[in-house]
This record gives sequence, structure tokens and C-alpha cells, in this order.
Amino acid sequence: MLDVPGDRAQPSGRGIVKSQLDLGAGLLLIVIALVGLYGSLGLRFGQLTSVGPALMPRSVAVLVGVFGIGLVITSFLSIGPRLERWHLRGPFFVLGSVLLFAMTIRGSTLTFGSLKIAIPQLGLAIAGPLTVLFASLADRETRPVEILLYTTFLTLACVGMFKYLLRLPIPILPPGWGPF
Amino acid sequence: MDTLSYLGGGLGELAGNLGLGFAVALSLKNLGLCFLGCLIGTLIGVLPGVGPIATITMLLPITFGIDPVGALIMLAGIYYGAQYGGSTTAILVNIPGEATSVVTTLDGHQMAKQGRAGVALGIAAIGSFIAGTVATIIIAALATPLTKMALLFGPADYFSLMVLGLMFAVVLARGSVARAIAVILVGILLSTVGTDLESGEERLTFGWSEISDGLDVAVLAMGLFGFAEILKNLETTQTRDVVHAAIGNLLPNRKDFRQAAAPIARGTFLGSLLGLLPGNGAVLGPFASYTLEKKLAADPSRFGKGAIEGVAGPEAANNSGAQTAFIPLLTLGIPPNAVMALMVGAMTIHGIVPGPQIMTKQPQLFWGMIASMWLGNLMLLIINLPLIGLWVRFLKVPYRLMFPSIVLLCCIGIYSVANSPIDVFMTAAFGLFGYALLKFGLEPAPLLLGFVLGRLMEEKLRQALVIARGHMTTFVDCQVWLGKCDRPISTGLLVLALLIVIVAVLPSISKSREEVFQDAD
Repeated sequence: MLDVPGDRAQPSGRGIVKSQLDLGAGLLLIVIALVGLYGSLGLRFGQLTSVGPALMPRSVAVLVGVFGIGLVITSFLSIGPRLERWHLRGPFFVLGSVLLFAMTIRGSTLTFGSLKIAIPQLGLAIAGPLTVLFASLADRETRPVEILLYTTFLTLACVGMFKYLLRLPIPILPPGWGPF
Repeated sequence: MDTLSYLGGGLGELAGNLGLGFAVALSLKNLGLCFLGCLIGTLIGVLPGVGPIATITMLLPITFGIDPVGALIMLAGIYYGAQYGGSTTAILVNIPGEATSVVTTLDGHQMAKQGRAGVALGIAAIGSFIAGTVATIIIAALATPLTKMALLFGPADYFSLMVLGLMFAVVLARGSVARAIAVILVGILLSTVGTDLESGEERLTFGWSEISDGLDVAVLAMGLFGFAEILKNLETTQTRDVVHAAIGNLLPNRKDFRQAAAPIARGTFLGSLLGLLPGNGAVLGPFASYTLEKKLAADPSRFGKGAIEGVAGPEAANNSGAQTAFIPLLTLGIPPNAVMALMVGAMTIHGIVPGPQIMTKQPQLFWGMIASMWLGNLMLLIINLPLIGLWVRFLKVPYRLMFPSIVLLCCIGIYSVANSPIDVFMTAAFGLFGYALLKFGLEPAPLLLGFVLGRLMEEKLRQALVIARGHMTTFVDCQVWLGKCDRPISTGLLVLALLIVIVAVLPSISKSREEVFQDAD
């Protein structure tokens, strides 16, 4: 949490952009500000005597944008750290596994325009290990046999704990498969 | 005479209140829940890279079936456990489990390498216990007067207090002041997502009905702190050097105690004081204590090479700050840091609205929780020292097995908060967002604080403006030169907030601000 990547990164050096980190942060803030402004379009801003729903989001979004622009300007003026490399493997498998869990734990319907894909409910006993196995691909050091054995153990432990010990209303198996 | 009898009456009342609290906390069920909370909290908190925020979110569902008093006692236990677990990891593995135990890695891990891991863990536990005891007494003593004071607060005063809290968060965040303010503003912006309470109109929902109730603090926290943290850890090939030397004797000897006594006392004091501050003051406690001990030491060069003072002081400060951070939450209803923000979420799930009314309307809950704080500290001392062998084994589980399990537990936890797959989906989105923030050098902790305070701030701002018929001057309605002051509290708080920011940007101070944090690098 305290490890701000900029601390150890290399300075951006010469070039028009003197601080890639500031530029990136500034652009991100500007995008956030634009989304905030867009999302509060059409709402009443109001006056101080009767504050409308848009007053807070719109004024905060403007401020975010101001800071974003400020950071972008700084990035051309003062030398700062270079951006760290973005990795794809970690985010893809870890966040992908979370999406997998979200889609399969109780089933869902994905809609792409007119195309609808129904995903069946798999329940914790199947969605759980799927999530763990998919996430484990994020790390190059994962060993197949080890992770399979471990996943089996973890799944049993989770089902035991969340279903039987804590009695959470979480589906365990696809509907109609056994006594759940 | 009057003061004396008042003091006597106050003490009697305090004893009575604590008596009530212990009667609640010492029931077999609550004692068991406190124990279980501490144990599980430590178990998860020991995992490297899993801080209290992720731990609490992950374990939130296990408190669902419990009555509110028991659930809060258990959650508080989980919180202390996670804090303490972080210190264990810091000493044994040199990886801070959370921000506040960064300092402990410096001398704690050195002690461990010299075969004195046991002593380091022992003094950390004993120091934490002493600090926790003092902090519990402080909370109990301050609760009644502060709650009475809170009742004097109008909407304008609340608003100004939150502004002050956010300014503290800005000053205490690492990196530039501008970045910290920007991140807090993003948090406030996120807090406005959902239906506007007054007009009933949807804001920033983009027609997506799932978020018309607003974003959930647990979802945001889990994404920003749980998943983003995993992504970051996966990139840095961690050289986890779990101490191979023997753990050694757990009980510090007489010389250790003599060296550690004063740092523990000073650390407790510093931590309690800083923890009270709105805006994540607790984080500063360990850093301040370490810097102070190093300045006071006869031979500062010992620090960083296994000085026991460098473990005892910061650990005491850490624990007392972690506890006094409950004061703004319980008396004013304002969470001072991200963990407390999560506690608000947990309380809401159990139907408790934090604020001054808890103490008067639910004294059992209030004093029971305070009594359980002390019991929690005692339990940490009792369960942790004998279980150190177990934690060491746990620490040897490789990260390649650990992170998929953390992912699964996070998913189950978030799903169970509202039995909603959409929440899980959103957590993934916030994980990506948090990863981007980290990559651009923006700290996510102030964002969460801004998010939680944002909603309250807007509410109080609008109330204050309605009362003042649209006059912004209501926040600083104070004409000292005319001898007239209608809003002394709000004015004072805003002036203080302004002073803090000015001081923070002054070159000389901002330099020493860096100094306080530099030891951590």
C-alpha cells in the first residue's frame, strides 16, 4: 500500500514528456472527470438556496479535472519518474477468474446486442475450483499437480465452512444436482 | 471541591459503564466470538500482502448469523488480529502485512535474523497489550464527554470536521499533496453514484439499475485493496526470506524490558493521540514513534540493526492508534480511516448507525464493544505467543498457492454480503481501477476515505445550506472583531484545516514530512 511505484522508477529523462507518471495520472484524472460530468448531465445543478442533485458530482468532477490538467502540465515541465511496465498476465487471469466466479456461481445471461448467452449455475463446488485454477495461471510458478490437489482440498474446506458451518445461502451445485 | 466531586462522579460513572461492558463482553458466547475473531483475524492477517481491510471484507460474511453485539465484538477481534498478524509477518518475513507495520520490519526483522525473533514477537505482543489497555481506558474515559460534545454539533460543524479529516488524510498520505487531494476528490465523486436522496434522481448510474443504490464500500475496498494488491504482488518477484534462524526465547529478559519500557510508554502516548485525529492519523503513529526513539537514543546507529526500542515503541503506537481510531467513529459517527470506513459498512449491515446515539440508545453494544477491546488484546497476547510455530508454518506456504485462495475467499465474501454476483463483477472492475491507480502513483487509501466521507459531507452540506438559507458564510460565521461568533466550532475546524494544508506545502515542513516516512524506504 505504501509502495508507490514512482518511488523506485527511473526518471523519464529528456524528451517532451518529462514525467510519464504525472502524465498518466493526469490523463486518468481527466478521464474520470469527463465520466463524472457526462454522468451528471441533465440533472439540476440548483442554487445555494436549494441545492440540486448535480451540484456535488459536477463541482467535484470539475475539481478532479483541474487537478488532472495540472498534472499533465507538470509532466511537461518537471522531471519525474517513468511509467512502470504494465503486465497483462496477472490482471487477465486474476480478474478473469473473479468474473468467472461472478458469472457461474448462480448462473447469468450475457447480452451482446441481440445475442444472448445463458451461463448455467455451477455452484460453489464447481465455480470455486474453476476460479482457483484460472487464477493460478497468473503465476508462472504454478505447478499442475500441486495446484490440483490444493484446489480439491480448498474446495472441500470452503464448502464445509460456508455451507455447513456458517450456513450462508450460497449455491453449492447446479440446480437439481443433489440435495442442495 | 466541585471539580473533585465531578471527577469522583465521573469515575464512578466510568466504573459503572465499564462494569456493564464487561458483563456483556464476558458472556460465554461473546467471549468465544472475541476469541474466534482474534484467531481468524490473525490467521488471515499473517498472510503477506493481506492487510486489515482485505481481511475484514473477506471475513464479513462469517458474522452475518450473529446478533449485532456479538458481530461487532467479533469484527473488532478480527481487526486486532489482522493488525497483530501484520506485525508477525513484518518480523518473520520482512514483508509488512499492512502500512502500519512497515516500521516493524526495520528492526524486527533484523532481530529475527540474529536469532531473537521470539523476543521481537514477545515485546511486540507485550507492548501492544500495554498500549491496548491504555487505549481502552482512554476510549472509555473520552466516550461520554465526546458524545455530549457531538450532540452540540450542527450540520455545518460536521461538514467542517470532515473537511479537516480529509485535510489530515492529505497531509498524511505519501507523495505529493496535489495527488492526495485529487484522489480524495475521486473518492467523493464515486460516493455520489446512485439515487440522490432528496430528488430521487439517479446520478452517474448511466442507466444501470444495479448501482442505483450507490456503490458498496466493501466492494470498493475489496477491489482497491484486495485484488489490486494481489496484482501488484504478482509482479514483484518476492524474495520471501522467512527467518531460518531459531525463533528463540519468547520472553524478553530483564535487560530487554528495561530498554523497552520507556519506548512502549512513549509509543502508547503518541499512538493514542494520533489515532484520535480524523484522517488516518493512526498510520503516522509507528513512524513518529520510530523517529522519536531514534532521536532520543544514546546510540542511534543501533537502529536498523535490531534495536528492541525500534520494535517496542512503534508496535505500541500501532496498537493504541488502531484502537483510539474507534473514538471518532463511535462518538461522532465519522470514520477516521479506511478500516473504520469498512466498520461503518459492517455496522450498517447489522442495522447499527454509528454516531453519538449509539451510546445513549444501545449502551450494551457500546460498552460491550469497548470492554471487548481490552479482552481482545489480552487474547492476542495469550493466543499468539504459543501459536507462533503455527504462523511460521503458515508463512512458508508459497504465494503461488496463497493468492488463488485469497481470490476465492474474496469472491465468496463479496458475493455473500448481498448474495449478488453483480457485486463480485464490480469488485473485479475496481481491482483493475486500483491497479491503474497504483501504476500511476496514486494511493488508494485516501480514495476510500473520501468515498465514505463524501456521502455524509454532501448530506451535511445541503442541510447546513438549507438552515442558513443558502449562505455559504454559515461555515465561518464568526466576526471576532465584532465580538460575535455564531459558529465557533465550524470556523475553528476550517481554520485548522487551512493551517494544516499551508504547513504541509511549506518547503521546510514538507521536507521533514518526507523524513518521517523515509525510514520506511
